[in-house]
Amino acid sequence: MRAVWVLPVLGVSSVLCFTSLSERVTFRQAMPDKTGIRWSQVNARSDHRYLPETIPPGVAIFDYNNDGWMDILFVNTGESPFFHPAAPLYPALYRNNRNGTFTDVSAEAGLKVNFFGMGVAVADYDGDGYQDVLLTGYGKCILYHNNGHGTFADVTVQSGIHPPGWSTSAVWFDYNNDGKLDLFVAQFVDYSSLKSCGSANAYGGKVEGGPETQIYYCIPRVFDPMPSHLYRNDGGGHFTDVSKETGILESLGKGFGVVATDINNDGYLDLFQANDTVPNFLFVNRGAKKFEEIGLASGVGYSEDGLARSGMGVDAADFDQDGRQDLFVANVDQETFSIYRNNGDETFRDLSRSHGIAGPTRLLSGWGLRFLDYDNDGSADLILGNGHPDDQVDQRMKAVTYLEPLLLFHNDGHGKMIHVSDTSGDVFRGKYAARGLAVGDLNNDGYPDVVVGINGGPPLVLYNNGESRNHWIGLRLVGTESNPTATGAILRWSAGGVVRSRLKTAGGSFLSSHDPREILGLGKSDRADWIEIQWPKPGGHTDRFTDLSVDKYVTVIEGKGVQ
Amino acid sequence: MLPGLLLLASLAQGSLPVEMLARQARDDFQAARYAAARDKLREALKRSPSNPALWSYLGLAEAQLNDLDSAIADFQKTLALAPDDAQSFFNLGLLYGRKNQTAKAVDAYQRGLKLEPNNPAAIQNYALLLMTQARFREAAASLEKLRGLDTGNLPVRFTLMGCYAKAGMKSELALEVQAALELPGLTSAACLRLAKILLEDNQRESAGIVLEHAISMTPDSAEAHYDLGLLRLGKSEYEGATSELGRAAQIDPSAAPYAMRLAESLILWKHYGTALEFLTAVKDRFGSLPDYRYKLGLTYYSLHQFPRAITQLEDVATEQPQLDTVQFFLGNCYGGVGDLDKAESHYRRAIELQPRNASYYTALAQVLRKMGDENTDEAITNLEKAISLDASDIPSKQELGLCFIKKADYAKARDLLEQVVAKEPTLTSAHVALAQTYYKLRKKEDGDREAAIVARLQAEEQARQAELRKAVASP
Repeated sequence: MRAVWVLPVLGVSSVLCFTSLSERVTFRQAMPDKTGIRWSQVNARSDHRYLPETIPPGVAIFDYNNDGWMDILFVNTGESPFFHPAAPLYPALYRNNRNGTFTDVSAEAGLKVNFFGMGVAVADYDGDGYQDVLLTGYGKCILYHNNGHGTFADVTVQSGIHPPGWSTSAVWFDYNNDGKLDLFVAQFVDYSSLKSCGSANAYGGKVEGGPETQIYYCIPRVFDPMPSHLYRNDGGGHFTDVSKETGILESLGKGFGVVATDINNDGYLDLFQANDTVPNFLFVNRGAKKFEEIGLASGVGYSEDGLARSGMGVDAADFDQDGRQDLFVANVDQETFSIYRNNGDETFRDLSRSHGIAGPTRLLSGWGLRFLDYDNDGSADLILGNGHPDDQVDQRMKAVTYLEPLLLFHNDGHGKMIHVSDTSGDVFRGKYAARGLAVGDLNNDGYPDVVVGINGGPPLVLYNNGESRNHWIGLRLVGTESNPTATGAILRWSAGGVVRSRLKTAGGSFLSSHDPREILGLGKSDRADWIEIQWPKPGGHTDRFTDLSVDKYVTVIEGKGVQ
Repeated sequence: MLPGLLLLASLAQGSLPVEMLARQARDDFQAARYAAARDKLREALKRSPSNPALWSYLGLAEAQLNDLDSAIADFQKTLALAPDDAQSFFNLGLLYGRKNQTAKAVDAYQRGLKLEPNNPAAIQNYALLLMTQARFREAAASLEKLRGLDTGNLPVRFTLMGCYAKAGMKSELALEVQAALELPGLTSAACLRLAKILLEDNQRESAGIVLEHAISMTPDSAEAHYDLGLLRLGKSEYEGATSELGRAAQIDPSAAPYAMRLAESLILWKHYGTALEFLTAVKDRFGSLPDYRYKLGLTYYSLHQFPRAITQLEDVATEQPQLDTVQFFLGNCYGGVGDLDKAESHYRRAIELQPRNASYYTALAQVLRKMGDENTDEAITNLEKAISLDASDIPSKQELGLCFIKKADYAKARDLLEQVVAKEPTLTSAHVALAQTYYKLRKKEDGDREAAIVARLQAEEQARQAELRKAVASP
């Protein structure tokens, strides 16, 4: 419990004297002996360097038992054509004990699937009030239905969700605005050859004069692209593959991260998919009939130099508060990451150089990432998890290393991203093989925390210290006519006369799934002037609230108000 | 010699004072007292003005005194008195040649050679005169005659080969080279000289044959291996160059040029790892040389080990601040580690040192564009300069097109990018930029056409990768 100052009405100078606490927000790493999270990802690294080894894990933050506290799920590897663990490997589900510790409930939860898992996407696909889980991986996906009492059932067979090959990120979103959550699953490459590579085709680049027999992780360029898949939720636990009729199947990619957002404000959610070594896709939803891929025309497919890059993690947010959804994609070293500002005409402009992103990311390879308002000042900041895919890159490129630091950027309120890693906690001085990254409020203090999946190691659990002491309102949205997670809802709020807006996106990051709640930062204002929730179609109506309590979470049910 | 015979004849005539003068003049001439000789000969000619020998000798003396006009007059007088004196014609040829009166010189030689067709000195001088006038075919004809008089005369044969080369007489050259190589007594050193002559005339193939012959004669000739290695390096035959330069370095490990060119060859051959190993091995011997550090820096740069490359190249830049290439590579290295400010600084320095290298302007422009929109105008200026230096430079045009896109001047961007794709139809990045430009200009059909080209190129690249994948098994 912190002491609270009771401020008399004073002049500005006196107020300044009393606000001596640092505005700078930092993160602290919670170690396994504190959290009880002793799980570690098995990356199955072999001498053959099978490419799937270096890609996962994904991580999810969600409330599996509806107790109001966020739990954590970690995806593991397992049985596959190239890996046969001595003992079965399963995903790990940790229940939040509400006191900073977590308990491994994997066994009783029933998430017992021994396969080479990649990522996770969480949502209540059947609207029964409980979060369900989709695991992606090599060779198959697994759909788990939440039974509602702490257990899950594998309902894959009857679901109709059978994407072939290697699935990576997935996103639940309502593409046809029928109120049910559909599913998009990104496919990576055709890896049926199980090829290993010499340095000529290594992720980290060719090395001259190196030993001819040395094996490296292959650069995805050497593999054939594959189409991703879109599944329409028919209700009753069944999905229909509509990839062909919606045009998704026409685009062959090497999909990694994917985010659902509305880039043209037409009320239909679009998809931004990062592809590795081929152009990124921007699938624009044309009235739920077709998805038109406009990556090239929009300017987000290629770099400014006209080159396809190694797109991995993605996210979407209105970082400059102009009312339009912007995009972000992380790439590999030497390519820089891109922050794309939406021009309002289905084109985007890469502002990475002018907005502080290019410099710090030039030598990094980015995976999980998220636009988040980590200090609750109302502006979208950015956190990124990085690590090179080639574990042997240090031998060849002294400026590029396998283990890389996390990055934290603070939005200055005008869209410029200020690199603040150095002053945001010791954890940012470390180097990691970061992959999946999920954001969520683990201790319900209103400040978003972060969980990072580490390839071949234990995860990072980062708590937000919240030093800014800015106020906030947390919203748990429940759609009734709209989709259950209210994905696509537009939130607007005013605090101290400053109006902000946010679209509730879905997916994003890399192989991971975030806390579904929305935390609205109010800055120093101790009340919200008003909050509007424009529910997505088919509902589409708008709720407005003026008397919500700050610094707490509320549940808002579509058509019923605050619970 | 004619003057001597004529002198004896005059002696026989009993003109004692003239005889004595002539004898003394001869002694003076042989003692290089040319002025004294001239005076005596003039005196003698007062008494015996129709003596052609005296006139000829006087011409020689005055030629030695560089009084060319007088010497010419003397030889003309000689010929007036002795029209069949070939030597006088030859001397006139020499004199007219020195006065650049080429036509007269050629005429004099030709007349002389009609009288005395096998005079080696005259033939040689005539050939040299023709060569100065670039009349190589005619010179070759003379030299062929000379060759016939003395087949073992290497300088003549070498000069003949030079004429063949310059006259484009390739088959004759090849035959002559072959014949020369079969001469008994041909030494390895002579071969090396010949090779250098051939290389001066850009006859790389013939030079190669000669050098290989030199090596067969003396396999342990480091210089021969070195020269052959350089030849192959010049032809971009890096594997062969490395082999020869390696052998040279092996024979004479203390010779810095051999080691440094070997390193260069390895780098150009893209065997950077081997280059690094080699340079590491010879560090104790050559590590203090600026060229060593330069080669090591280039090797690290090629291996993308930019920080190490920077260390080496910065040292070289300090010691040799006038080397523009070092500045350029430093710019590339700093760009590689993301320090665009330093990259910019080094590119600017490279331009200061060598303002006529188009690629320096292009590199600077690329960095400026990356640094921010506010630099676009300057980037454009630099690219326009690059194009003015090399109008055919495609990367500069593409980069300029991208700059105009940034400035939203899509019409200019379109014009440039259309030129780029016309020259480089498989350059996907240019088609991408052009497609986006067309869309900005609301030319959807053109944009869609370019987008289709992009898709086709990508599919072709994918097919190529599939073929490679089949061809190359996993290690």
